[in-house]
Amino acid sequence: MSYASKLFCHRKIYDLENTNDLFLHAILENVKHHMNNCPEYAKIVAHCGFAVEEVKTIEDLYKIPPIPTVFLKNHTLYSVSPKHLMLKSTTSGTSGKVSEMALDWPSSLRGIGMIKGMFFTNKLISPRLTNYVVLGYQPAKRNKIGAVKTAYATTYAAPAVHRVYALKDTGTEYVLNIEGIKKALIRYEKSGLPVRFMGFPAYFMFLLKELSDSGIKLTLHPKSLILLAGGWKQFLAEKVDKPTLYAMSKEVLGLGGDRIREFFGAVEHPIAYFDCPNHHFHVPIYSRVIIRDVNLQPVGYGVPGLLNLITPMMTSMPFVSVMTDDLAVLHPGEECGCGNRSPYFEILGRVGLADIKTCAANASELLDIKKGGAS
Amino acid sequence: MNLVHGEILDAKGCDNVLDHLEQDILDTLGKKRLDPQIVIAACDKVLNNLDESVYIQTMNELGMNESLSRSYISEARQMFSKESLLHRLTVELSDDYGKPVTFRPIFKEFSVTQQTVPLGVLLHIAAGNADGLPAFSILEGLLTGNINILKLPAAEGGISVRLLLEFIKAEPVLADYIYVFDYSSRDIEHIEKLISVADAVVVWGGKEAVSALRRMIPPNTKMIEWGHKISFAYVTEQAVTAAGLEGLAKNIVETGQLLCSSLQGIFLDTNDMEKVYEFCGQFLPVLEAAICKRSQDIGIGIQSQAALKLYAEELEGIYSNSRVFRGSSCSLIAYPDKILDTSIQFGNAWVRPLPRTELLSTLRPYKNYLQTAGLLCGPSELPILSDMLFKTGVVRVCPGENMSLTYCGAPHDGEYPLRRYTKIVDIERESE
Repeated sequence: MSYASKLFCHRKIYDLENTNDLFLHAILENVKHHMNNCPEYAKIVAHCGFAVEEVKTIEDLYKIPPIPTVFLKNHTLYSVSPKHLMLKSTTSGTSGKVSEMALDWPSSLRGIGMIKGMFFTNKLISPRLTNYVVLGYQPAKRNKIGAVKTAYATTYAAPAVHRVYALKDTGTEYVLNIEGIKKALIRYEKSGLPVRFMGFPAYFMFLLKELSDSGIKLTLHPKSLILLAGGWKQFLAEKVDKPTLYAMSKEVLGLGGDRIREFFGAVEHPIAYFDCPNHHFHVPIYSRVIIRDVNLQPVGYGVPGLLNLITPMMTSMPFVSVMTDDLAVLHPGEECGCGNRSPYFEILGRVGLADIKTCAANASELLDIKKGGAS
Repeated sequence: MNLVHGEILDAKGCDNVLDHLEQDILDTLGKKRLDPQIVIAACDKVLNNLDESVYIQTMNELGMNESLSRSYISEARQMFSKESLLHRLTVELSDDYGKPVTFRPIFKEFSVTQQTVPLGVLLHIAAGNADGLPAFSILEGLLTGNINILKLPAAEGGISVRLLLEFIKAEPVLADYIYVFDYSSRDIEHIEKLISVADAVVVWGGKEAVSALRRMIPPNTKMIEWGHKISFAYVTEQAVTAAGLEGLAKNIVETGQLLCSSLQGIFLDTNDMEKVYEFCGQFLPVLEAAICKRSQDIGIGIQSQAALKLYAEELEGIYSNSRVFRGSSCSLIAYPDKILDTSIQFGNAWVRPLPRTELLSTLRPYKNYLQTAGLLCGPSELPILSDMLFKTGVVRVCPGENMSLTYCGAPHDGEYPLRRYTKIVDIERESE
């Protein structure tokens, strides 16, 4: 059994201290695998002057060259032959470019191990019959967006009686199905079974507003759950803060902040981070988080910087250490107060400034010309 | 913030104004033409009473330190001085601006009287790329006697309205010539209403803003574009001097490479990559020294973005053969290709080979985007290289350090703004 497989079977998912050695070995094994099987990855690490021998302890993880997600949007790197690829996902592509991710068999098994560990530890597995509201696309063969699959997969955490989708597949296109959701919710309330909501925070907010505008007020089963994916990016754009969302949810659905769980993940780093009762994302044994300054050097707790995520989960693609375009800060677990001693991170937002003041013609304006098109 | 007839209005007040806008404008047009002397006098009074500390504080909030703010203010004092404005009127519109000129056309038996007059109503769609720029655009409209409607950009910090209020306070007659509305760019209904009363729409901004307005502006309404541009340096072998390099570094550092006139990168008059690397090695310490003295605080978000882009570019080198020269808080990237693009900015420029024989063919595709070339060359090379640059579409050639400096009477993107905001009318009379 590989080190990584052992790691992903481990059941004490926040016991970082006792799994440090296992994690280190799994990472080294993973880095070597990618160096041997993905010539481009080997070139990248060589270009950065990296040698595996440099990583001797868990403290040395930062030495592994992180690959920026912006780079992965331009280049798709594989460490296995295409015939071994099973699940394919892409990012939602809000910024225009998309990243591709695909899992092979070993990566998938580890993923399943992680989901099991996560769901059990976070008490998300339930034997109760449940109704589902998926605030996203109905799954279809032609849709490869990772979030769609995640949302669908989570509907297996408790036995599903019925599923309703915000974006319904008519076979040829997707239509917004707010009316369908309203009707279903009224039915779900009467049925007396728990309801689970799955989707992005912004979509959930939109649903709450729609319900509130229609004068609909529900008291759903108290064991109902709202699972929000995708982190805070949508919140930042919509300028909605969490307390407002929790208060609205309590008013419209009868489900307060204690029934809302968020999870964070990225296509390039398919580890699911669930929030604790204090709504913090603690780092599980499957990954490590490093925050880096502008010289890409690691910084300590409490210092904001670039978010670097490390995991040995993937054998299909060399996503062992990736650098997102998020600014984040890492806190010691003790600061949270929920009892989980594993460090937690907080996303501060995307790098750059939305309203950066420039009148220099930008890259996208010049790109057409570069490609030889007309201006 | 909305400003109509010298008063700040809320959204509801604006709706009322919009209902009567057409009649309102007719009333003002029916009055005596606005004399540029009144506008000049207003500027003079505003400058004399300017509370610099307020503006320094606002600029400080935008990340500029005091010495940079003071230099901007002193630049503004020159630009809005009586001498400058009078000089602009003379240079851009001729000595006889506003005065009728009568002559007999050759081969004809009648006489004509020509006169430069305002276009009438200008709608300024301002961009948020420079604070106070919207007010500057209005001033140019006032100087030419136009009624001005300003649609504020989303990120306007309030400097423009504050300045305009001071103008009105100085010369209350200006109140009827200034309308400011804070409608969102997506508020098509209101913007179309504003367009309907305008003789011309002055558009500041990038491709997207300009394209969006092109779709909204009816064919016979004049559109005056001040689009985004790109600038670069061209350096010949004999001109690589310490002073020349310091000048390039100065522009990079002082403008953050954010302006149309800012240096994005440097083309070298060579085809030899070794020479490009050599240049990078020589220029990097100069740039680093200038960065150390940078007077603007760059936020962590921007710094991290630049760091991330630079790192990604470093990895791209595996495919593109580019080479990154890293300095402290700055970098140069040597690319073997011959294209023009925006740099990572904030102290990160590109360097590319471009022998003069390929100058025209390489840059010509970018003709509508080119603005300033910082040219470092020997005195004997200047005429031929500058002429070649003008043929590519570049409109201004100057030493590196002056790329983003302007002077009184300078054309803007190759044109005189005041001339664009006026028209020439003529009356024909039978000869006596």
